[in-house]
Amino acid sequence: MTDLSDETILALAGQGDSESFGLLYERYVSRIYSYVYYRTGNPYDAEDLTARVFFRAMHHITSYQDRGLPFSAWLYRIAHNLVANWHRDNSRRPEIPLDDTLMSPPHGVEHPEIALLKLEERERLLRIIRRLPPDRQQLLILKFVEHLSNNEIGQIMGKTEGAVKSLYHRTLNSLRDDLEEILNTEMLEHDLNSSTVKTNGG
Amino acid sequence: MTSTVQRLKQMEDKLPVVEAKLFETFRPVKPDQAFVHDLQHRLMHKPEIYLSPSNNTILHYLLILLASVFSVVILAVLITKFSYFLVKILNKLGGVKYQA
Repeated sequence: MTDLSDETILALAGQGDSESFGLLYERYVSRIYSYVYYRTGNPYDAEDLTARVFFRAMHHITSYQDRGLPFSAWLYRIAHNLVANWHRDNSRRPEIPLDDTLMSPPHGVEHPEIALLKLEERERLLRIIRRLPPDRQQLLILKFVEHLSNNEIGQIMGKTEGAVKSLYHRTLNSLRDDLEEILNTEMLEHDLNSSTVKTNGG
Repeated sequence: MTSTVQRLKQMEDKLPVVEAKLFETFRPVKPDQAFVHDLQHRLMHKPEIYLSPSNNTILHYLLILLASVFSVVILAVLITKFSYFLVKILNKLGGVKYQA
């Protein structure tokens, strides 16, 4: 049964077969979790929202209509809507700090100083990404976490392949500008601190 | 003019660097296996709890209705008692006899 295509399993799940839905769940739970995790930044909300995605999917599976899009597109849309609601509900709360595991240094033997610099850079980039509009965040996660093609991303986001390419290019430009701006500010602060220390020392 | 073109070219050349940083930043994350199994269990065995939020809503409205009816009864009893007490006072004060 595990070799069956999504379409066949969906047909069975649509008739109320919970085991078939279980198979779909096994296939997609990690992907949906990853997506939600990077959109929320912490594992607790990621687990809660992942659970809601699958309960909602299960609730509506009988009314699911195959429109030629992959099943994952439907799940990602549910996830996207739930994450949007979550952000709206949390908009008045202070920004949630990025999770420790998200910030953990990469595996492998590396000089501690280099590892720390990389960690800081990663943290900086993730903060910038989390300030991007939701559609740009979604695009980056689908591209770099799920490794989907522009065509597949377009199917999920309801855009043409060309529109996805264009949005991706604009997103990269915006990230580059933000990164440069932050680096320039940090360099300026560093110079100011150095000159202050010299003045005090002299 | 040439410097503007060069600057734009330099900026464009930096895009692969940003892409490389993104590849480095977005590492795959795996959900906790205990969570995965627990959610699967909940989906397979107790979906009705999660699938029927309307049940909670109905219960909520029933409780409100019950509380409203109870409040009205209490209020009616209090008004009756108060009017009875008021009539008794007026009767004691003399003059016209009032009947509750």
